[in-house]
Order: sequence, then C-alpha cells, then structure tokens
Amino acid sequence: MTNEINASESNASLEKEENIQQTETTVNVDKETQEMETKQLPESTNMMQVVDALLKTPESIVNQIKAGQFKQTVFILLLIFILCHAVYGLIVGSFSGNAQWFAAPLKILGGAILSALLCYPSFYIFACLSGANATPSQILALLVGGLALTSILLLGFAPVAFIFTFSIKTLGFMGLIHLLIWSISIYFGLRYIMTGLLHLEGHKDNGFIKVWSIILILTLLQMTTTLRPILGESDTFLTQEKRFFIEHWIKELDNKKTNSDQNNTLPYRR
Amino acid sequence: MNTYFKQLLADLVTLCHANPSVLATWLDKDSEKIRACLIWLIIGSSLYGASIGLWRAPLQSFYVAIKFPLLIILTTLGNAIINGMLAQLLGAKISFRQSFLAVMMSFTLITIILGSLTPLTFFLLYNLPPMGSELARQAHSLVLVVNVVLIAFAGIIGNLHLFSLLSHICDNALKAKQILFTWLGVNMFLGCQLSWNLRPFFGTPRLEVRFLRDDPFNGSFYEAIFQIAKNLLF
Repeated sequence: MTNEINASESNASLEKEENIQQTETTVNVDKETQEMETKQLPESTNMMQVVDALLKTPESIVNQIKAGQFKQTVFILLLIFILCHAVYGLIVGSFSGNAQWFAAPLKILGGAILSALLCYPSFYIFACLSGANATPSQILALLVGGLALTSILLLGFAPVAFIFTFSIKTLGFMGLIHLLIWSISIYFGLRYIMTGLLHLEGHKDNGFIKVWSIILILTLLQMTTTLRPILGESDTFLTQEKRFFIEHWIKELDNKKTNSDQNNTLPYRR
Repeated sequence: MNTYFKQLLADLVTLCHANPSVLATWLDKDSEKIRACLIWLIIGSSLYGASIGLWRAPLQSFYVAIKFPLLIILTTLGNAIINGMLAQLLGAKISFRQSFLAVMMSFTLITIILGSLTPLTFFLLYNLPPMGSELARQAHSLVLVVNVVLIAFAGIIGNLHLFSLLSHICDNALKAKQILFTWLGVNMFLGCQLSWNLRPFFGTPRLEVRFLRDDPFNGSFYEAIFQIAKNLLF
C-alpha cells in the first residue's frame, strides 16, 4: 500500500516536472519568435547598418522584406554585392596581373550576376513549391541578400587570399584556395536564404530549396569555366571552347601532371 | 609609470586566472586591453622565439625573437575581419574589435605559457650536443619534438580558456564550440602559410643563418605538403 502511494506520488511529481519543462520551452520559443519578429531595420538605412544587420541580425532584414518595405535595403545590398565582388576580383586578378587586373573583377562580378539571374526563376518556383507565400520581389530581395552576405565574407577573406596570392606558384593550388574561400562564403549566403524563407509565411520545409542550392552552386561553378580564364593568363578575353567545369578541372590537372612529371616539379605561374 | 607596470602585471594575473566573467568585461575596455595583451604577447613570444633559434646560433635566436611575435600578430591581424564576421554569423553578439581582442587574449595566454617555459627550454638546450658535433642531427630532432609538444600544450590550454570565454559570451556551449573551431581552422590556415613565408625558425643545420630565406614568397606551405606527400606515395 505504502509502495503504491509512493509510486503514484513519484509519477505525479514527474508529470509536474514535465509540465514545467514544457511550459518553459514554450515560453522560450515564444520569446525567441517574438524577439525575431520585433527586430526590424529602420526604413532609411546606410550601408554599414545593412552589413551589420546581415552579420548580426539577418532576421531584421527578413522582417523588412516580409513587411514589404525593402526597396532601399535591396539597393544597398546590391551595392554591397557589386563592391565586395569587385574588390575580391581584384585580388583574384593580381595572381596573373596584366589584363587580369581588369578581366578578373569584371568576370567574377558578371558571372555572379548572370548566375543569379539564371537561377532566380527557379528559386521563385521552388520557394512556392515549398509553401512560401511570397511575391517575386520578396524572393529577389532574399536572393540579393544571400549573395551580398557571400560577397561580404569574400571580402573578409581578402587579406588571407592576398597573402596566398603572393606566395603560391601554381594555378591549381591558387584555384583550390579560392574555391575553399568561396565554399565557406556561399554556405553562409545559402544559410541566410534558407533561414529567410523559414520566416516567410506558409513556408513548410527546405527540401526544395536545398535542391535549388545545389543548382545555384553548379551554375556558379560552371560560370567560372564558361568565363575562363579568370585566374590564369590568356591572350583572349574569353575562350570559345565549350567545356563542363568538372571536365575542365580534370583536363587542367592532367596538363599540370604531365608538365610536373616532365619537370619533376609543380607547374609555375610565371 | 609604476602604476602602469602594476596594472600590466595585474592584467597578466587576470589573464592567467582566465575567469570568463572577468575576461568578458575586458571586451568592453578594448583599446586599453588590446595594448596590454600586445605587450605581453610580444614579451612572451620574443622570449620563446629566442629559445627556438638558440640551438642553431645566437643570431638565429635573435631573428626568431623578432619573427615569432610577428607571425602571431600578422595571423591575428590578417584574420581579424573574417573572424569577426564568422563569430557574428554564428551567433556571438560581439563586435569586430571584441572578437579581435578575444583571439588576441587567447594568443597572449599561449605565448605567456610558452614564455614562462623559456628557462626550461634554455636548460634543455644547454644539455644538448651543440651544432657541429656528431650527435647534432639527433639534437636538432629533439629540439623540434620538444617545441612541438610545448606549443601543442600551450595551444590546448589557450583554446580551452577561449572556449570558456566564448561559452560565457554566447550562453550556449554549442555556439561557442562552433565559433572556436571556425576560428581555429581559419587561424591555422593562415598561420601555416605565414610561418612558411617567415621561415626559418628552427634553422636547418646545413643551411646558413638568415632572417628570411632568399625567396620567402616563392611557394606555399600547402604546396610543400603536397610535394612531400607526392614524394612519399609515388
């Protein structure tokens, strides 16, 4: 009898604890959601405020997009995207020098814009497929935000890339370093886009957007091959020969392997 | 002046205590504390740097006493922007200057530990066969191994303290872990390359003593690793 009473008492206390925990979790979640919803950028913002918001409180930009008052912010995001890509392009171009000082920034910026334009329609459709109730302009604003964040990170890595540019001799290694830097940057850019979509009304899951992310990454990688040479030297601004980027990489590595086997060294840039 | 030195010493003690709640308050007095950290970083790393090169030659010791602080400062400065961005993106509510100071504090602690071990390394060097002797190769290898162990030990302690500081700032161990490993990765990535550019540190016995190699910007650490791996495998 005493055991039964003890057991029922312990069950009751367990249930009570569970209830308290559940209430606490609900309160915390509500608090977080409330905090996220209240964070919003002022209507007139400057570039530094937008950069700060992208890094620290991306939800404030998303809330602005959700509220439909994002014209000025998108304009600033676009400006950030162009400036940061151009600066990073200069660092890429400094590897080979000469005409690449101008060609690399132009190609990097142009390639990113072209890829974004190519992927924008599918982004809108995929966002709709995942349940988001958003206008095309809101989706465009999200895309521009993600790409702006990517470019800010590229700029953050610029001192690192700069040091490597003056030390690395081989094209392949320099390409790998830029690819690594770009991968980290695009990861955060895509993370912003996915988090942003989750805040939009009606969005259920990120499955379609994950597929779209792969499409965007493939497009951007292919663009680097289409607009080649970006890193190396060439007599012409663009190459006429059509190639898939993986084929291009394999071919380049094969060329280098043959060269290095002949010289018993790595191929040099100069 | 006396008060300044007393304060500097007090800062050293605070840094060694590594109480996260106290160190978190440092992040608000950034310029004052950046200066204190920089002074201790230079002292600790110069002392330790001197001990690294001493076995090779006194001149090498002098060169490394300059290059070792330079390596740490350049790594911290080179990654200052990206470290700040990554910390903010991963959810730490700290400014660029504050993240710079947090990384700087961790490096300072590491160099203070290394600096404090300098008398022991001097003693070790005193007991080693000198350059030019029959056992010089073994002595050089021992110098390398001992220094790797010391740097690893100091690095672990420094990063553990940085982790507790980050956990305190973020109120979340997972976020702190993410930020710590991201910073570690980025700092190692650039640090390895800069150490390649600023070589020699230990000084290869068969090469002459130099401040920098003839071609410090020719090649990279990663290319060298690739070449070594290629030679080993093929």
